[in-house]
Amino acid sequence: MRLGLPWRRSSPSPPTPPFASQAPATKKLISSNALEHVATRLEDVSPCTILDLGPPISENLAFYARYGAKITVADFYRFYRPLRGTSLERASTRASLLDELVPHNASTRFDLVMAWDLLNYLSLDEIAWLMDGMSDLCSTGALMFAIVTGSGDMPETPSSYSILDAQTLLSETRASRVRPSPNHSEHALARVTPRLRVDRRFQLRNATAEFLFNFR
Amino acid sequence: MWKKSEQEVTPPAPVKNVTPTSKAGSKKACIGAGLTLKGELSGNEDVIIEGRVEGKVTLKGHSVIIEKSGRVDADIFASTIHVAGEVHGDLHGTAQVVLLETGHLEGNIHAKGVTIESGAQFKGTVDMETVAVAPQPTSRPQSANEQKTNGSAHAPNAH
Repeated sequence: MRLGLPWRRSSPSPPTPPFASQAPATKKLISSNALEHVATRLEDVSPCTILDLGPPISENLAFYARYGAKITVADFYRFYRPLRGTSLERASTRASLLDELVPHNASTRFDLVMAWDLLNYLSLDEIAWLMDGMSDLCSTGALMFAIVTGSGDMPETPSSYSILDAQTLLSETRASRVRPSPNHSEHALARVTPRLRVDRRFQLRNATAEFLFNFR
Repeated sequence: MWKKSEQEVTPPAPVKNVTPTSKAGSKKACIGAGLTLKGELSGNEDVIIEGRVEGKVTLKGHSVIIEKSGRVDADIFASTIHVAGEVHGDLHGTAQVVLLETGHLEGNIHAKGVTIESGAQFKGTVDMETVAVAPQPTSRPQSANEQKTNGSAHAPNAH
């Protein structure tokens, strides 16, 4: 048995509104090229300390647990959305917000971060803040998996992704409305995340790409 | 059966079949929707929580069901724990923890098995029993759409 990272609640979280409409879920199978590299990381780093920034998904927990990983789930967007608008200018505010949103303790060093499609739903300033803070919580060389939509429309809220196997994802979207993609380019992401480097990029359909980043 | 340091006197509401019930024939107690219990809840039977509990819940070998109306600010020690309501605390389930669609958990899960339904809210860490995994083929030829990038070219401002 692997020990999880102890995390205590510091203060009550703000009330969270219903996250998604009750629209029927749209499900889609995605053939992933990046997942096998994620699996390799899980095999190579034992025990691998994972931060999943997406919603909690049983299949994903089971996948991580097969490798004896230590798992932390943050469901970042759901808990961040009500706090949006908080000024990120002050370092103390940035730090306390990250403390609230990402369960961790002083010794936490994540080896793998599953960001899923979160970056599509953050501005470049927010990405800069989050990744700068995450750098302090990740080990050098830690891997981050992200799905970035390059153009066109995307669901109004992040989708959930289930790992079916090391090559296949099942995306589930409950949002009934769409919104324009922020079209974050690889160059723009690199500019605002100097403590990350793009390790691999896999182009998918519909101008979407899987990225594997390394924390420096 | 339990130690109750504080209890309001509204009679318990009838049990609804929102969450899975425990094995047939076993005794079940209910903290009704109008009740608030502060202190330590311990005993030798299954418990359904529809009201509010603050403190600590220890029901080793038994199940705890937090119904949709239930709110728990406590660490829970039990065999199986089903959460349809809101919990702020750590869940220690020797058998299984199930976070249902309407469940909201802020705390850590320690269990051999964890099931989380779509729509459930969770923030915390998961400590699961390690399951032996058959090695999966993880190396294959680089696919045509893979672009191995030179990271240094993308991050000139590294520090």
